[in-house]
Amino acid sequence: MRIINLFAMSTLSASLLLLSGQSVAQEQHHSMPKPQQSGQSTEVHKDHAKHHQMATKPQTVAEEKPQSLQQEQSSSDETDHAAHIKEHGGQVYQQTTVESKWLRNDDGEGVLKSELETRIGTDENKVFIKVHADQAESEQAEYDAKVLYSRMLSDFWDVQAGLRYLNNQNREVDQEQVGAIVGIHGLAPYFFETDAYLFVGQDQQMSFTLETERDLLLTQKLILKPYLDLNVIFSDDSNYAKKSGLNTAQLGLETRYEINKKVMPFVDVAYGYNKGNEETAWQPQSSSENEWLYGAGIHFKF
Amino acid sequence: MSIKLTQSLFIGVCLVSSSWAFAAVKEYHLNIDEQMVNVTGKPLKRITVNGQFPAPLLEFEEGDDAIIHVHNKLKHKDSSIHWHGLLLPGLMDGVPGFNQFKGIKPQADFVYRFKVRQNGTYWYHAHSKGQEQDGLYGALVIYPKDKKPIAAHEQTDRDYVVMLSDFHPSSSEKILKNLKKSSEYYQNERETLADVFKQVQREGLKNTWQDRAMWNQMRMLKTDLSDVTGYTFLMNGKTPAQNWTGMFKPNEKVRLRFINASAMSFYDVRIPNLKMTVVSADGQPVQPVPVNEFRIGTAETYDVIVEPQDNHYQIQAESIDRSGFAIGSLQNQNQSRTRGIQMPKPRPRALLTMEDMGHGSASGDHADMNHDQMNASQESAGKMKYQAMDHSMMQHDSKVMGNMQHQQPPSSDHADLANHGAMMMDHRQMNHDQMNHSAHVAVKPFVESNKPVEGWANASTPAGYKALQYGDLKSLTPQSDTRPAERELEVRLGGTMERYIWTINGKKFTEVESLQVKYGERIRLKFINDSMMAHPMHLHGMFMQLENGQALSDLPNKHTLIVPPGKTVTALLTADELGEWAIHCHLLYHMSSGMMSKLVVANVDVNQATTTPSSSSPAKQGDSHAHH
Repeated sequence: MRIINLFAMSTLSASLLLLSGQSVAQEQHHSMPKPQQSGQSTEVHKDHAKHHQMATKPQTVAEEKPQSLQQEQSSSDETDHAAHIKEHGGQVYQQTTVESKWLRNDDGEGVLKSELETRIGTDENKVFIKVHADQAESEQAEYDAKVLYSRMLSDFWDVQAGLRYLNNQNREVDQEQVGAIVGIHGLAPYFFETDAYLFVGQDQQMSFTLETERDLLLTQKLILKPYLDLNVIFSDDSNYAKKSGLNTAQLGLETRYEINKKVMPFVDVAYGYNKGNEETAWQPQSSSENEWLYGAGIHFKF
Repeated sequence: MSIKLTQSLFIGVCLVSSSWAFAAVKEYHLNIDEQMVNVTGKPLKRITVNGQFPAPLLEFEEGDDAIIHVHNKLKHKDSSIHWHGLLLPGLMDGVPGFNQFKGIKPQADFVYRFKVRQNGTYWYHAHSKGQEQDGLYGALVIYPKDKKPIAAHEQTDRDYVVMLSDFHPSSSEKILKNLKKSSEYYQNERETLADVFKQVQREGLKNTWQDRAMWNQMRMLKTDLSDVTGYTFLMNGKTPAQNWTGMFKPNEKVRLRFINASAMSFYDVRIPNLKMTVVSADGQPVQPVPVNEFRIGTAETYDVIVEPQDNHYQIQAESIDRSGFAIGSLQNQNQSRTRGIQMPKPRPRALLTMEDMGHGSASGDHADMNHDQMNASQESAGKMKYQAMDHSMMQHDSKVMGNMQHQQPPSSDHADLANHGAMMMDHRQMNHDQMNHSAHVAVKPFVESNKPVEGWANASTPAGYKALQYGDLKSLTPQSDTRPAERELEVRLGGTMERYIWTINGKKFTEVESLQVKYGERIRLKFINDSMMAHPMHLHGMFMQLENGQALSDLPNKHTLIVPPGKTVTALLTADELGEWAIHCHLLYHMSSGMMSKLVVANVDVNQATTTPSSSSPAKQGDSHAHH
């Protein structure tokens, strides 16, 4: 029950965030005074001869102001020039996606997964912020936040580096962890949207994650998205160590309906593998398990 | 001494006043403002000029002294107006950041003054951000001196501007942001799984895979004919429902001045049951070409003459992605309208083919591309052109082909050649079909087969109909400069659709080094399109002589050249205008995301290059005016 509430709440908060973003964006427009003329607008030039409402005064004695003086502005040439150049490829853009989905496994255990990803910057230099929150039923939420600097490497690829912060209140020690992360982000051949990261953290933690997905269109709005997420552990001496090797893998098929390009509800079916945990002072060993996961969620992009 | 001075002053005054007496001064006041306009039924805030949307028609006569006062009443936004296709001093060209022009600040004025040195159909538009899309565009017509037709065949009874444009419910700023969030934001005609299955049924699994593998490796969509959809296409600012109408009397000759003032759209233009005679391209007179239809790229203009006999004709300008029409009518004024507006049936949309694909082996990501394949598709392209094009055109193309193959690095991948043998054959066949259509060799009509229409250039022109080709254009008056090019400037057009980045010679305008040309130099501009989209390339300040296979003296003048996907187009240029001239793709959002460069024409005899036409330049302008 609680998890459903959470799902509803996180969806609601995501929509609120979306709306607030919208209203902020529109404020700029509203700050202009309300225009006077509305309604009819088009004036068509049926005949050239009719078109002399504009002043066509003959022989105005031209005051020969030197033209270079007409544009005396306070701002310097350089800033003007730079500003203009920026209009042709130097602009700063942002993109934010918010996703919230609720997944259940075969045993009826549910987990609410929420993601926020925002990127801001120019074509070449961007900052990515990625926050994941996983909340299993009757447990506290686990957070995984990344701040990445992203540098364009080639037409389709960015190289990224930054920090990863993990927070898990279900643990008794090491609730917070910080590590370094490097990786690539881009579009692989065959339109596979791909993120691959190498994570290095305290206690010899070293792991590799790969996320890749691509769209297959049933219609322009109903879209299948097969995806693959992998997590490979190279070494882990932490108190909550995971078994090394391919630790988790999830192959899924998400089917979304694009109500528009901003709001996209989806259903998700996935098959997951989990190798399990090592035995440590703080946790028992767990053996590998496979499970089916199914659920639904909503995706916002703005 | 002082007497001499007064004498010379007096003579000077006489000279000045004499030139005033001969040239009429034509003055306009343009107020750029933001207002609510209602085009599609929903009031939207757009840019108006003198309260009008789109901006009003400006008219001049050749030889006029144009004085245009532009007042920027926009709040917080710089503005500018560029006179598209006009020969004028650099400062008056109106591109911020060029020739010391700094744009027009909010609440500020700028007075454009220039001598009108040409005649024809042109237009004007903002060169600041996306203001052109938002409404700052209008027609500009220059009549010959005293409105005397420049040739007997140009004598007409009526003269109408037919300005095509694309109106969007979102602002230009929003559109660009959306494209940057997802380049597929406006792609609503992408191929679905069903299309893949159909292709498998039609061509077999192997061929389908080979065809699609290429596109998938390059991460390009076959359906990307227009980056932005959702437009309502306007004719003279009117929607199809509002149906702009030009009146005529039977037996009259009517001149229609088509201007493509769209931000992002190309059109196929036709008037069913009415033959059009093209008499001018980009404002410059050409030898008459009778056609049934023509394709007009963004920012191009074509003047046609028609002689309507029936009571009613429909002018149909269909966007090349087939998402809609700009519609208007020609109506016999002695007859009342009998029927309402009927929307024509759209033609099938073309899919891009291998041939339309970029040949970009320069960029790293394309390096893994199979060159056998590319050669194959080029080869077939070459072959079908030999068969279908008239021989003057062929000459040109074979030259281009030669160049292209020259650039291909030798392939080491022989195994693949065999593999792709089947596909090669298939494409030869396909391209052959397609080109036959566009070149109007009578073949079976399209609709009967379920095979999609393929090839960017394929307008699905019905059999037996003539569509205008670049190769048909011949300058009406012989070119004064027929020198061969002293050197070649390469302009490579590229981009990454996924990131929505568009480049010239691999660079965005932010990173670009300007192209340097000596004053008076004769150069060849070689536009090589490595991308899968067509780019209407526009050069400011000077006309390019399109090398379309015609004799050197017959080459047509153009200010905007369509460079189709995967193709090379060349033009000769006499650099006879000093200044800094923008050279850019006229698709607004391509330009805004980097596809722009600067061509500098400078005197380089002194160690300091000068681009600002100082005292010598007005005299030069006067001279060139006297030539007309």
